[in-house]
Amino acid sequence: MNELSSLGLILLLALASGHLVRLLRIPEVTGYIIAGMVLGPSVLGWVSHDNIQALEAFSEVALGLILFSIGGVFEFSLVRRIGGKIVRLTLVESMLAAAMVLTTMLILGLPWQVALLLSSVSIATAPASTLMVLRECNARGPLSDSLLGIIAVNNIVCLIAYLVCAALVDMVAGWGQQSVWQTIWQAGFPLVWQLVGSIALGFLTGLMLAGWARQVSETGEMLILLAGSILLCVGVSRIAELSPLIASLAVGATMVNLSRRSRRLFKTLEGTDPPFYAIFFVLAGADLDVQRLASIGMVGLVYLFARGGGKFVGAWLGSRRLGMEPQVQNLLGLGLLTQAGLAVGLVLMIGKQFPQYYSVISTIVLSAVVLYEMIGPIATKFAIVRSGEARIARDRVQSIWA
Amino acid sequence: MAVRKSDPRYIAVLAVACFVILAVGFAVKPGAVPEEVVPPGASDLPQLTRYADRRMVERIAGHFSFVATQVEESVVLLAGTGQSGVVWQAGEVVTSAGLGPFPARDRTALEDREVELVTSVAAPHLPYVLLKAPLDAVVSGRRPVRLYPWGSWLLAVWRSSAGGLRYAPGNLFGVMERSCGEVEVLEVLTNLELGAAQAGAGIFSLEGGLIAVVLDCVGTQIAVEVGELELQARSDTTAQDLLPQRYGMRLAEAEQGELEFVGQTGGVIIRETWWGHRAHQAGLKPGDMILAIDGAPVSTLEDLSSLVLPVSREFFDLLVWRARRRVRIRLQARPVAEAAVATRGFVAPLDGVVLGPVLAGSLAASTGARPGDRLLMVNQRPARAFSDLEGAFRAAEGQVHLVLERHGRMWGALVQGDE
Repeated sequence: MNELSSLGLILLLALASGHLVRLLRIPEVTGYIIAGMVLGPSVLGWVSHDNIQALEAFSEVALGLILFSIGGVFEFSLVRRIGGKIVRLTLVESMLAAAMVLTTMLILGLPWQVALLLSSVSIATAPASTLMVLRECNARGPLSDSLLGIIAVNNIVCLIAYLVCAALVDMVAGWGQQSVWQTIWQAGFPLVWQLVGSIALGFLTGLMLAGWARQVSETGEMLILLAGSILLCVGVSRIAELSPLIASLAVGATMVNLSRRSRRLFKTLEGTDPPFYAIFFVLAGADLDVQRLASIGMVGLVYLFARGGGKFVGAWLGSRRLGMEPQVQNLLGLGLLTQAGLAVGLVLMIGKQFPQYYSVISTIVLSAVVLYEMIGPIATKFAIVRSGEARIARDRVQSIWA
Repeated sequence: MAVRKSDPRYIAVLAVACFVILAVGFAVKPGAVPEEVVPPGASDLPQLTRYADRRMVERIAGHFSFVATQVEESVVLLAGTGQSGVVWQAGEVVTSAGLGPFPARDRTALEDREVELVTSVAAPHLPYVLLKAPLDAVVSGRRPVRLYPWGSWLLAVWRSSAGGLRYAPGNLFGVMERSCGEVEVLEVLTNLELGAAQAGAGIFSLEGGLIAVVLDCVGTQIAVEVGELELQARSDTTAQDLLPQRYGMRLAEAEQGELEFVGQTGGVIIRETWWGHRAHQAGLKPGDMILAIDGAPVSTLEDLSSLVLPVSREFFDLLVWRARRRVRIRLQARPVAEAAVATRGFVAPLDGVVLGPVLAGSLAASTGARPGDRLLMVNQRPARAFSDLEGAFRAAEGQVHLVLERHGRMWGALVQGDE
């Protein structure tokens, strides 16, 4: 099957599975991901690895748009109101999940380097599927706001944690082989560069976008401007070895604070980006290797529960200490289980940086991702509906084509 | 919004700071650590040598393929005979004559159309055939073999029976003069395996120059140097040379002995005919004396010049003297499409008597006969047994006329009978 026909198949099956899962009252995202798994190389093979690679640009744009949307939560008024709480909450849930994973992995006898790297990866929460569930439920309320804020900050925290852990492993391995400064420079530079450089790139792109948006009135033109800016930002991030995630997040944050048209832009985006998201999630599903589930093993199951437990307890503990609403205290942990893109990206990075630990880490993380991507969105939707913040639109699917 | 309402100068300063961060960061970013290059150890060397050899052979094989493609257009498949032919010059194709008479016409596929080729030069004594065709194919330059040192690479290029291009590389080992029936040719010696499938193939140098053509030399395929072949092809210009090519016969003004034998005072006698050619198909035989052509008396070869001039007629009426009788013969003026004596490719065996050993220096040897030749006629009557020959010599008071045959060439010989 060639790229165009597989793209067509992806869109149509995404739509069909979206219809189907609504009957089962589970999130559309889960439907897309399951459709992708079925179509993908590990089950039917209608969408091959080559197709996935050829359509990667769509995934990049979709992920860029998703992160851009999430960046919208960094509006100063909102940041001032709940920013401090969100950051503290994120730190608590992230650190507790990481600590749980680190401890259990060390108890199971894994090398400290593997345990450390795994713990940093375990912090990641998938922003895309969480955002999609929130949008599908048309959710508004303290739980939704907290979730959005946490997934925005969480990814930055995760990336910083990974870079710190990687630098530590690198420094210990390289100790004595070169000068101390050289070791610190080589291990520490990526941390600073990816964080500061990505924010700088995102700010500049957002500045350009905000300035140009004043001259643009039509919705179509606005979308072209947005897609062009996001593509440029993601592309430059790749060239400069920056984080496209943080850069896209920074574009959204800059835009929402500098442009009066930002609200309209985010609204327009919500109405027109679903085909991209459908492609993104089906491709993400197709890329998941279902057969890995068989190899999850004892360590994988422990990782699964340690991370989930850490997130849940961390969210409960944090929100309780910060005096947040009861529904946030009880249900926030359920919304943080999803794990996908960033975790997979970090595993690939580990493959390049520490090939000696790749096989064990990839087996654990990738098989866990398969389960989290199926369970996570369902848990998030359950939490949103249970909290009473869901206002599910009846014509959700039709509105994609409106 | 605090920032939205703030001084744009702050934003400008922030933007400049971002630029500086990106520029400096990009400049000082540590590059990827180059992979450590490990020099090959002693144990790796044989493998590396084999790898290098393999790459070299692959490159050479690739070049052969390239040369074959370069000369592709100058090698055609003659669909009728199923053998290859080489474009000799614009509008002319050369191929191997083979053992039998070459058909008057053949055809070849050229891109999407079929092209007819008409035989222009073909004779039993020639190992090659020239065919005329409306071809605009690119002609590979002909190169004398002496330009190439021994050991040079050569490429035989031919067409399979399905028309596909085939090639085989070989080396030049030298040249050797060789007799192909009655024609002397220069054989190009190579280590190429040449068989019936390569008949008519071209032998090219690696620059794409045509060096030799594969021809059938008395049942063996040999590479014949093009320079020699060209001299041969162009040397036959007189009427006496052209008659064999056109009609498959050799004529001469009768000598005294022959005149006495046939009982005439003058005329032109047929010395040779060739199996399957026009003269043979018309029924002319060695020993026949041509008395008249189209009613005009014939006493010298010049009287038969009309046979080799361009004509628009269908046939010539010949009056010949055979076994003391006048016989009328109708000789086709234009090439005959197929050998009339063949039935769907099967050819009837010749009659006559196969000769055993021929003693050196004997009368028999003076006729040109060799062991294995066939005695077809004795005194212009079919020879059915060896006793016919013995009887003729016993009964003869003067000379005995024999017709002998070898490889389709039938010739007459007049020998002295018992006295």
